[in-house]
Amino acid sequence: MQAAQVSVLVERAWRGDRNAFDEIIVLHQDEIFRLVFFRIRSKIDSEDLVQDIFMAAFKYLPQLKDSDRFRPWLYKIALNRVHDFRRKNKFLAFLGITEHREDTNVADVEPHHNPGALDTVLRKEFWSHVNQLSKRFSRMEREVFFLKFVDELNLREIAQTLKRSESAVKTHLYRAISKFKEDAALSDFLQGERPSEKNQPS
Amino acid sequence: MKKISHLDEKQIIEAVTDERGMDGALRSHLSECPDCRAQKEALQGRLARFGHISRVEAPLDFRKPRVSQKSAAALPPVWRIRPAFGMGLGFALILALLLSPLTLKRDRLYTQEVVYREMLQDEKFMTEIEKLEENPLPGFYVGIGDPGDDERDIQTPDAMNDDSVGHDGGSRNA
Repeated sequence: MQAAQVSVLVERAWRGDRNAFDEIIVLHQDEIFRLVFFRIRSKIDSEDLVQDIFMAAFKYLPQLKDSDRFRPWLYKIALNRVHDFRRKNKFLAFLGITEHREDTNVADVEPHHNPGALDTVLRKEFWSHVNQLSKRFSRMEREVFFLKFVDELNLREIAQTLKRSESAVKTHLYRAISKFKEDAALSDFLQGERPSEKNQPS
Repeated sequence: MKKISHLDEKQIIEAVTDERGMDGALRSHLSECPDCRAQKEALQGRLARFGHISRVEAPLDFRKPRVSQKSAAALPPVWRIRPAFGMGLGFALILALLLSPLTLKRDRLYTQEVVYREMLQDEKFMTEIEKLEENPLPGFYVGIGDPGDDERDIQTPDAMNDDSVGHDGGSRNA
């Protein structure tokens, strides 16, 4: 996705062009859904949150000062909504109104490709490794690591999203990569080839 | 420029984190040394693979978001959008309620009433203490003879004259 293209769309949306905002949604909906889904691990809740995030983005777009910063701004809204959702869920779970679903297994949700029997086992193994790794990260390390390697944000975008300095982001990223490197089981897993990947576009 | 043998583990991680931010000599070594470059690329490869698998795993058949003018207008009120504003407003309301003339007046009345009631209770309590100082024994001992009298002559109060009470002071109807 071209940053310049998004910037032009944002400026058109500022001028009241509804189609421009629809195009922005189409360009970002997959990555925002992925961001939310990995953090709350519930497809239905993720769908509701993604809707909520784009509604908020639409409403507060006039408050965005720099169209080049749209992506980190949108990610910031998304992360805030995810944190609000988690807080609300914990509170409701505390009151016994709802079940706390933090540990829902992502491997139980169907991915966008058709998993074979072997792949299903590998997926469960992969997510088990991810869960183990996530537990070793601090909150900020986890956030920085996923934004960098899963959401593919650069250091500056991560800093803008998390409202931290670039050097702070680098420090967290350095620690997270060290922990990732120490995880021998995950390294071994990643060195093997998965059947589903043979047909997947990168 | 000083000669560097090989990059250590920390420097490899540093290179993966932000190669451009590295020391010039280290960066130059990294570009020339195939061993160090291979180490860095291996770690980068594992991280890229991690990201790739994670992205592939996300379901894409989700309900696509739609923003209509009507639904955008139904967004939450301003206090939810700006939590600090909402909290400030709430605090100001509580403060206004506490400092309102009606509340202050009620508080004053309440305080006077409580003080008056406590004074009456103190007075009653002091009267009881005075009575006890005059005669510390309970009512049914009043009129009993001197403690030096023969035990057989002592009048047993009605309350104690119950057959069900044992001589050893055991429980009733044991």
